[in-house]
Amino acid sequence: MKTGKSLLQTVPGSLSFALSVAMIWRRKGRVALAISGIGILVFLAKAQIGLMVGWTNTNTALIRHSGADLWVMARNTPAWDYGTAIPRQAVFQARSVHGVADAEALFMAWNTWQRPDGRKVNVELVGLDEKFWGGPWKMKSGNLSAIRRQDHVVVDELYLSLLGAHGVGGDFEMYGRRATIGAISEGIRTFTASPHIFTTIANAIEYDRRYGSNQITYVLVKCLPGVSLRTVQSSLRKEIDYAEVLTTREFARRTAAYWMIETGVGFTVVLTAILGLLVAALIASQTVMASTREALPNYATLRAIGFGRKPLVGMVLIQSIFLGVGGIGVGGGFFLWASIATARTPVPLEYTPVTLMGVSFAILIACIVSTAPALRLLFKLDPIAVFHA
Amino acid sequence: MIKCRKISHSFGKGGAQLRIINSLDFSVARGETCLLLGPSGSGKTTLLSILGCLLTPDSGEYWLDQQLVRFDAPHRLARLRAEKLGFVFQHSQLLPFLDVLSNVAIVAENLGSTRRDSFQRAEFICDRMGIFDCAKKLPSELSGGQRQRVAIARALIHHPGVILADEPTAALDWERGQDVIGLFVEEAKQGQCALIMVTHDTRLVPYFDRILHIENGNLIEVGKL
Repeated sequence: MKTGKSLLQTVPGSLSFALSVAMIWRRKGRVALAISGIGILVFLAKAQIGLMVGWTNTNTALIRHSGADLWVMARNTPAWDYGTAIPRQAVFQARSVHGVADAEALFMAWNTWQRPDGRKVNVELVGLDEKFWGGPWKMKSGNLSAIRRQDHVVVDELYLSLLGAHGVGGDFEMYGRRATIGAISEGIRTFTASPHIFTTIANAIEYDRRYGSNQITYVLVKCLPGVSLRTVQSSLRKEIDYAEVLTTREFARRTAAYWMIETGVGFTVVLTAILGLLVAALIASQTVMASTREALPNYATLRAIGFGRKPLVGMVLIQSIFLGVGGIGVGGGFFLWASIATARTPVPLEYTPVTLMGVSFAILIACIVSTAPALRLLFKLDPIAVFHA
Repeated sequence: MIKCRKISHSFGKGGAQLRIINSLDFSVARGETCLLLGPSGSGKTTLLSILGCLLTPDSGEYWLDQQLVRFDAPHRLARLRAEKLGFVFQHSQLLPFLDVLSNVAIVAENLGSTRRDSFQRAEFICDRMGIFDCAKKLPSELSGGQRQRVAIARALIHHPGVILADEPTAALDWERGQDVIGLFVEEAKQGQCALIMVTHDTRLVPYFDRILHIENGNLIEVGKL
């Protein structure tokens, strides 16, 4: 007589693995619940890290997309958003340095945007030089050269509603001076909640009378191909001795460090992510512990009929890893969906392979470590208990 | 098959120490069936635990299949239990998350058989035990008698030298108990296993070759048929 296959016959791998799968299948309702819980916490941890990655990408985006190799700025500039004035003469000084291919100025200052309804919005006014270095790298409608026209600016599509705008052509004010939207950029986010408003340096200085016409904020330097960046950086420091010269990477790092570390934002985010990991580990631990406690008579039987400790430890670990992998799958899937859904919003959840794998790995390790109490229970198990069950 | 020399075991310490097994000497040969009788607390289960390599005696020597059992090597004991012993417990102790066939097959697979061979052997032994029809059922779907038959199949699948049974009929009515014991003894004899069964039920005496009585830690051979 033939029968259909047993669950154990259909599961490949070692006997420990097959028994674990059978145990999980038997408690599938409870396991699904635990996986959902862990999944939510994986999502929370990944979302926190994703927020941090998104913020770091956002607050360094203009630096990274500038195409410059080196940045000249006032000493002790803490971040891109807090640059202070340096003389425009620095551009010419930079151009005179050996190894420099070209240099352009960039102006940055905080300003106030007044909507037609009277509401005021803080903005970061960015003045671009002739070749628009440091400006938006993607346009949604219109051309960046629109800023060359008197009182014309470029804003990003993400902030149109915040700025009270509907598209190209609206009229607004900055410090009592008219501003017309000449074009709209795409994906130029701001970390500070104050949108970037791009215009020419000349226009920008008209909008902010605190600055003189010979003042700028940054000099962006492109080096000749093949020259040593460090050598040019050193020459620039000598030539413009009143300013600080950083590579693009150094400036991006400084800006990210300012926002993430000095303001404490990064600490809060990382702390929340760690809490998520810990609670996920706790759920895994509780589930595996409850499952092990409930199955102790079964483990005692297995010990009595000749199973060593190793396969039983394997069974507990496999169940914990299953919970971890399940949680990573559920939470990771949800996170990827959320990251796609937020891609075109001011606060995107972004990731790098390292952060994605890192959080997953941490969750897995936390789940494995969390089996310790259950394993202790197993090690204390006396197989003689099988006679008293 | 089994040889015990001056096996003793106590529980508790100091003044509260209680000697359960008192310098027991006995042996059981292959194919012999022994019934171990005695009142509650007389040491039946303790003796069974020692014979099952689950409990280390305080003193004495225990020889299993001409091999001196070393109780100080737990991993070897697990292997010894897997190879030489078969167990049938009072409440069958089947794994609730496995069906009948799997409950039986895991013993063979744990000993190194392939999964395919283990299941083939499990099918064969389940057929002999009359439980093939419920091979795909979970233990919770079986009657008490069927569960004990599965437990017996699990104890026999790897042809152990010794089968230790702890009141396997306690949870069954007399009619079902008789069926199970009849089949059990027959299979044990056919497989040339030494069968040692603990029970309170003296009505089972006729099924066994030897009757041992344990009381106050001492073993008395009551009769040999």
